[in-house]
Amino acid sequence: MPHDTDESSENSIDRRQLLGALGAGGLVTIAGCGGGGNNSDGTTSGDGDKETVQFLTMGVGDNIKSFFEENNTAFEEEYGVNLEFTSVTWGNAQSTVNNRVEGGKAPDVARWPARWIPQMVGKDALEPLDDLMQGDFLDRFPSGISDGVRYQDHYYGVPWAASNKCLYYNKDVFEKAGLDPENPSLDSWEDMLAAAKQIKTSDNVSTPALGLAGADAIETASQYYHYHWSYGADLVDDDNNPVVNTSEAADALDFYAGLSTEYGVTQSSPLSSTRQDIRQLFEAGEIGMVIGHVYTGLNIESAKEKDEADFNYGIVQVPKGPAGRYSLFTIDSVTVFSQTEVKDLAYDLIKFYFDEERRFQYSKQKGFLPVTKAVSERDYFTESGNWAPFVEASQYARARPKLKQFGQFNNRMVQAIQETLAGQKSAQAALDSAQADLEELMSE
Amino acid sequence: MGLTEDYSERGPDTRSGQAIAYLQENYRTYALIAPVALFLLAVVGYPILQTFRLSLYEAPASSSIKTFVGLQNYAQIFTSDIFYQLLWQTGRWIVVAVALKTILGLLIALHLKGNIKGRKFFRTAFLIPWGIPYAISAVVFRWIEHPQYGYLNSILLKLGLIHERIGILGSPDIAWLGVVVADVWIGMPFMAIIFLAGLQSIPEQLYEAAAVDGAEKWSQFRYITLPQLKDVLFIATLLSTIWTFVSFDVIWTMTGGGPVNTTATLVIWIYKTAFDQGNLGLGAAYSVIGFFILAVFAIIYLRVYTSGGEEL
Amino acid sequence: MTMAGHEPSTLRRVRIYGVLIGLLGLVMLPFYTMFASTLKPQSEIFSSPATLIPADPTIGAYLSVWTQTDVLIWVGNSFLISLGTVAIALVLAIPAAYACARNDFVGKRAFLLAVLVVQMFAPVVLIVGMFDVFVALNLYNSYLAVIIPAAAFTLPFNVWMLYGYFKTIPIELEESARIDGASMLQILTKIILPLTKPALVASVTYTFLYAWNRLLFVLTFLTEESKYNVPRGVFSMVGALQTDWRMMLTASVIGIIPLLILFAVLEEYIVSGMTAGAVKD
Repeated sequence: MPHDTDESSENSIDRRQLLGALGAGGLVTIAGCGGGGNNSDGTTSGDGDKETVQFLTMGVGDNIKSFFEENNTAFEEEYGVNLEFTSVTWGNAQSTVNNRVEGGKAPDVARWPARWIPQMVGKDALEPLDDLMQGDFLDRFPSGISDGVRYQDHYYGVPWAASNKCLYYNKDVFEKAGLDPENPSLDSWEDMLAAAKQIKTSDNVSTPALGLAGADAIETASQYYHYHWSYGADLVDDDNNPVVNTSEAADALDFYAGLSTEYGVTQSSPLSSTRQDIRQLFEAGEIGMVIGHVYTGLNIESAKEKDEADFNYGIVQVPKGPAGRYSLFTIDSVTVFSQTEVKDLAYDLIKFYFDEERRFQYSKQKGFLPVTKAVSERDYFTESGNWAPFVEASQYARARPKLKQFGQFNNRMVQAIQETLAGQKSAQAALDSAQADLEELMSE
Repeated sequence: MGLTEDYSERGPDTRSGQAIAYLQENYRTYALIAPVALFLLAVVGYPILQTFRLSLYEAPASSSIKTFVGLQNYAQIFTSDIFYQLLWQTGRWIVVAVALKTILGLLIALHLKGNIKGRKFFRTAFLIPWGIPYAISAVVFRWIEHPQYGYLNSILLKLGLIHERIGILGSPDIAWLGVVVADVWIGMPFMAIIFLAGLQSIPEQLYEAAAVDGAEKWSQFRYITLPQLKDVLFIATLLSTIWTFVSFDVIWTMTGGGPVNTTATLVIWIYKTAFDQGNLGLGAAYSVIGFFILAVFAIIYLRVYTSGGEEL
Repeated sequence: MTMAGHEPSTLRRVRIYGVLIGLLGLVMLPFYTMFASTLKPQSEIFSSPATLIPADPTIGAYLSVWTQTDVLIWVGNSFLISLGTVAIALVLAIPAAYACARNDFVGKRAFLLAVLVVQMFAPVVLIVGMFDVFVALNLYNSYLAVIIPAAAFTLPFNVWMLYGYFKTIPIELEESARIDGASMLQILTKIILPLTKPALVASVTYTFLYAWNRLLFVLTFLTEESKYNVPRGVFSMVGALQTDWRMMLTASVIGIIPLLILFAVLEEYIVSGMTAGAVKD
């Protein structure tokens, strides 16, 4: 990570301190400057030290760390500035950012899911980026994607990356169970269940047929929504009223939970399995089918290169339900905080990272779908066995609703899923009580 | 330095005069405790006050506007079913975890006390769990208990104790025990060290005299070790109870409070309410309630302890 | 130190070692799982059923952690933070514990209870308010912002524990010194502290490890990677979509080595504390 000299990092520690000292006086100024506006010259101290821009991202895993390291250094050199790069884990991201915003120590630029934008706008924490998101720059993005960072008629972010889902299956497992590994019949949920039953009853296979997420974690709901939507159910109506307990929804949840409770075709104990657990099992060749992102395939490829995995897998579209086929679509965005004192530099940083080649490298290494037209049209994506199904899945893309209280909403859904999986309530009863709670939540 | 009672017998008769004279006499004592008091006040005084204040507000994390709602957050908590479920779950979590940590810690300390061969090795090895970041230990325990790739299931299957894999952390009935095991593992070394230090200050002569009297091992423990260790036991269990009450990392990492909230404790719920769901006011109210529960517990515990003729 | 009793000494020895080895097994199994995982390829970690012994052990993860991360800097920072915390916590706690153990004064009970209050709130709750405090004091993103809260949260234990031990020291020992004209500081450092070495070692160990393991404060108050401690460094490897568990575990194992060395060295002091304890009677 680029912290070349002690000197430069000292500078960034004392940045706001210096600002205070240069100002009228002592603690009062320092305490007050936290909430201060865009005082961009305050960041340059007398000795001609460099400006600093703080860049916060979340969940920089091993596979993308070097991408950021190299480019951050390049940015520092090109612009003669300091870049203070912080990566926090997803579990801590939201509270870390909230603390920093409340305490007047917000970073300048942050990369995070676009669905957090409404909440941050509610706190006046974000800078509208309409002057950046216009003209040629805006035209780089398909409108379906740039809409993802739009809230209350302003652009509060720049789309950074996107992800959607497909269904992975283990060809070796299929073959052993007597299923056709090359042309599997996995078009609908019923097809998927039939294949899963055949794997379960096959004497040649001991691997669980299907990975099912059911742990107390956000992603459990993300996995479930594929079923929910495809049965024709929705989360909220056009006026943002919750509608989670329709009979379609109950059928969807009944089917989802039934995969474990009725048919027993899943791994044991879905209630303690997160999405990451079942994905890891699939990547180790220990599960027959799982709904996953691009990077699952990329992970397996890299494991194969290192001789750490040796099985074949295929990718098909997420199965369809009675009312269609959906692939959960998530947009990641970069945002600029209204507390920033270096807005121009923040824009420079964003533009720097939106260089076409950098976008390409990022998507390729990280396993996220590209968001700019120019990059997504590259042959690399359209012709790769790993990427092509996901590019195709874009037509089934569906995002979660933009709600200020989405975190709370989602948690309540997870609880309903768990209650059904644990056999404590019927799907309809679990969703009915969720609906009641959500109505109360949304009316606040 | 004078004791309170001594002084009041021969002090001047006006109250303020008494107070001044008392302070003059005892200022050294107050000077010794003042740094701790001021330090804590500066670091956590404001956060604690802020928590109390916030508990009277409707304060969504998604807005900078806070609305005063009086005791409404408290009313909401006391009328909700989940609160009583959380109390029960927090209670069993504390009782079982603290009891196991204490017993195992004592067992280790008693056996490490003597001048045995390899003592250095044992003492060092028993500390290992304490040197690993809690969240990492929790991840490791999640793996060990994992139905599919965990060691525990493999071992139990091999020994023929179970016939099919059990998902401990996925079972609403026993998931909490799966988490307790990890917490005990992490907390045991601390107890062992504290008890070891306590055991070492017990005068050897007491045991020698008992040996002459022909006391059995158990009565030695019952009539010498335990009474001598009383202070340390009291303090260690009190603190351990408080820590177990507020512990967060282990449960959060292993189950997130699930399945179906069965491993959630008050603190897990506070986190979910305040940070996951962005309801800061309600989360603060839960914190204040948690504080009062602990404070009442600590006071009762102290009473019981001091009623045994102990001075505080 | 001998433990007199009726059991024949060989039998006693067998019993002691039996219990110790049994307990050690319980303690070591999870650690073994962790250690074995650092030697397995990522796919083997998630293979079913679990392999008890790595099928194809490799030290690749150690090489990666060594070359790709700043694990040495993390360890250095951990030491800095832990030592700083120990210094502040003990300098504050010792006099206060001593004052409470030796004197009865108005407000003593209230003081001791108030000290406990600090721990009756989950740190995750208080951290929000502490953030404002540290920003106002201009300590944000400095080591002190991690050391100060760690010291604050270890004070209840240190004050109470040392208070308990100080009480057990016979007052006659210091009275004779006081007659000889020794100051309170002299009494504390020359008489009391040497007699409470086991307790001090326990206090130091507790405080040191508390600061060593804490992720929350570093996560909240430090932004610069050059200041990360071991847990923060380990958790910087958690990816959004993929996490290299092997690297995380490996870094944790590396992080524990200096601790074990330190403790093996400190153990001598516990022994000497023991003899001092025996002398006191």
